[in-house]
Amino acid sequence: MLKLTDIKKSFHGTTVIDNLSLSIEKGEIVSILGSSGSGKTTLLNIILGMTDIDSGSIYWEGENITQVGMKQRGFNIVFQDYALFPNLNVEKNIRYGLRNKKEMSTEEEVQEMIDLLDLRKHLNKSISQLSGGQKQRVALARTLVMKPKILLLDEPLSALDGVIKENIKNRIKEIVEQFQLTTIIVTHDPEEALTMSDKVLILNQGKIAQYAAPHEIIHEPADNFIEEFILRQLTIKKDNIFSLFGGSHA
Amino acid sequence: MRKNKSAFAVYLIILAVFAIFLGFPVLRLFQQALTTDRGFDPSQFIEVMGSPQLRQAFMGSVAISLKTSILATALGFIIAYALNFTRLFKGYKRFVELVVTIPMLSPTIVYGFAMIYTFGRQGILTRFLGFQLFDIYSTTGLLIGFLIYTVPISFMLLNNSMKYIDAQFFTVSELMGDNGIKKFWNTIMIPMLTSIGLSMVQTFFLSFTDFGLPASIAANRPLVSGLLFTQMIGAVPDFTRGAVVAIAMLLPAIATASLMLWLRRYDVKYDKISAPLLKPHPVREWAFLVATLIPAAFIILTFASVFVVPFVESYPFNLGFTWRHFINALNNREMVSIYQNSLWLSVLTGIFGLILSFTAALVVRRSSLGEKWTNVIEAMSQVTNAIPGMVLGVSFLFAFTGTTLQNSLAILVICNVIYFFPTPFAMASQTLEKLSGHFEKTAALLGDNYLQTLVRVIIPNCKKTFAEIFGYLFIHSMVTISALIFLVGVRTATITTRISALQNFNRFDEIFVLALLLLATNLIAKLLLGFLSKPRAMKVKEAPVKAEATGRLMKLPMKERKYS
Ligand SMILES: Nc1ncnc2c1ncn2[C@@H]1O[C@H](COP(=O)(O)OP(=O)(O)O)[C@@H](O)[C@H]1O
Ligand SMILES: [Mg+2]
Repeated sequence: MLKLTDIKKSFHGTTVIDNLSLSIEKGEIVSILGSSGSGKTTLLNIILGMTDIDSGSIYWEGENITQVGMKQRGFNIVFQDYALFPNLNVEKNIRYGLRNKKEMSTEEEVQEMIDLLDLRKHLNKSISQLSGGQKQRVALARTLVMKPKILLLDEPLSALDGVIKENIKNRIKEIVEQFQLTTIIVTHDPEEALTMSDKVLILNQGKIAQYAAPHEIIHEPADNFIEEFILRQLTIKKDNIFSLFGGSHA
Repeated sequence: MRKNKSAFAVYLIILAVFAIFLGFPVLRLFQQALTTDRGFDPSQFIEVMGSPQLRQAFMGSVAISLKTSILATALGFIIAYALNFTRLFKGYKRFVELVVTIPMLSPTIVYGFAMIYTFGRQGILTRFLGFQLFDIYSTTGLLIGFLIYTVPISFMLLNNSMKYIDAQFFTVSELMGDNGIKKFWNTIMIPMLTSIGLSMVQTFFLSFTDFGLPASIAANRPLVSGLLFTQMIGAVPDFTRGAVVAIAMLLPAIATASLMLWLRRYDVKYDKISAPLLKPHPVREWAFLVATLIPAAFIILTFASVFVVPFVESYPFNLGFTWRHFINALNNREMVSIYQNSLWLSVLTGIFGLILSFTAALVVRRSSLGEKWTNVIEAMSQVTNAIPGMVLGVSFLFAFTGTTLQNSLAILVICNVIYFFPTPFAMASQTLEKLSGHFEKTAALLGDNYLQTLVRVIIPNCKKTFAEIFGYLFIHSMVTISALIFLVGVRTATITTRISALQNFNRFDEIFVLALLLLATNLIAKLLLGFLSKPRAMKVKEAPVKAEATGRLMKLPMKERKYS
């Protein structure tokens, strides 16, 4: 279990994360949802160990890891821009971390991951030859072979569109469930958050607006903000489509 | 946190390098100019600054530099226009571009001698025509020399922004009902104004601070560079007067450098979307054919003597072909060691310049040090940019005479590395900036330490830039003279400084052998490095380049452009 208590973080006097506490069960998929600038990335970086906090504590399986560095925590992330190394081909990117820590995955596990993410036919390609969705899958494979204790994804779908987006969405869900990976996904899209995760954490100006299962958020929004800014987006979308093509509100 | 500390340590080392090899020498220069044994005493400073001799030299330099600046920019513009907005034959355009860039591979002191052998009273062309085209020792002669030097730079700067002018400008202008002059003004001049300004300031700076040309064909003309040289190395050297003259050269250099910095803020580069469709226009085509042929012919004719004279028995008396001069040169220990000195200097400048500029760019672009720290390095780069080579050389002389550095190859390398720093730094910064900001974090999470990331990710993605930086430093070290002229010792003479010295003994055979060796070396270096940097993973459209004798940064295309 990951547990954050009373986390505070400010940049140049501006509070970005404000006295935030939360816990995430092992194997859960949690989405962090919020508008741009609400502190999502900052929270992700705090969990990852990349950003120091001003006060508060972080626990992993009961152990206080507040002072443990990013590399020692054993969490891992796929950044929004994937950060694939252009000088290496797909396979070398995937195996990058294994050159440092061979023991993280067996050869069979690597092969399995390659197939699971449908990357076999791309192994010898250079990064510049890949589409956005393919890059995302390579970045995922490179991270997953390192068997992170927590997988963090910063806006994993924002650079993708249409069918590819749906495809990746399902694949992430599948893999994460198959490996029982604790996963934290940052997104600004309510639909993504509500359909992909076990629990959704809604951030508003560095504070938790609501932290609950998707059905709960839809049926019992905690406050006005959630109704007004999160759920309304979905209703407006739906209304637009229905007003275009007709049909009933089933 | 720990990583931040080592970044800070590297940062401090870089600052220390600049404090010792830039701050300290410049301080010594001012100390020399403003103090005597008894302490602060500006009387000599005031006396020299107000002297008719300096005023005359200053006005002479300003006058010739202004003329050069206007003409070089006009010519550079015409050539760039011919390449971008005429339907001249593609191969001809490439030929012009190639010819126009040749002078950049050769030191200015060579142009001077080459001009003597082509246009002089006994020159190749003069003999062929039967009359002298112009007097090379006149203002016109010096002006033509400066044009050969600065037109390539003006052309590259203007061409590099002209080729990004989008066809949509033309469409819009036509839709608005513009015609003739108005259309030309709106579509081409307006987007080019900043570059034109930059070109004028840059070419002014180059001719104002150049040493080689005045040294070869205008030795008796009152110019600031000549005055500085005679004060320091003339029959009656006077270091204090020399220091004051150096400061007199530094001040306008700082002014032009600041002007360029300011102009560059308005230098917007567009991504070209489409090339304009040009209707055939015979008058335009002929006009630009002539307008480009003339400067190209001047350059070819000038450099022709570099290729001819070394193989002629004894120009102009005995025109038989011979290898004698080359064989003599190769058998002459001194000549061989001079060539080796130049090569070593250039290779070492390439290596150490690459290390310093890349490390500085790493700290500035890829460490978590705040801007308040990294801005200091950026500022230092701007300051270095404003210092003429001769001024840096004189300052080094004051700072390191009497130390073990005196007369060493090391001092030449260090001086060059500092002098050339701004451009490689900008090139490295540009490349590093384009790499994902998450590389280091990602690699660390995959188990790398910082050195591993550097070797496995960062450096491999900068290989092409490394080749470009090394090539830039190598070629510019081969042709530089202004920064070194005060620092070379008997054992550390380089080709350029030796050429300068040999003229006093009228040993032109040797001068031309050296000039040809230098040009050939640079051509080979350019071809080799061009070849090395061809297959590029990262597309770098352009990289800034600093021209010899300046500290000025300019953006020059690193890739040959294909004309369509
Ligand atoms: N390193 C930093 N320095 C200063 N301000 C920062 C830094 N990182 C984030 N911020 C500020 O914190 C706020 C939240 O940023 P972020 O966590 O990136 O938001 P989100 O990911 O939700 O868009 C923003 O106002 C941002 O400008
Ligand atoms: Mg974000």
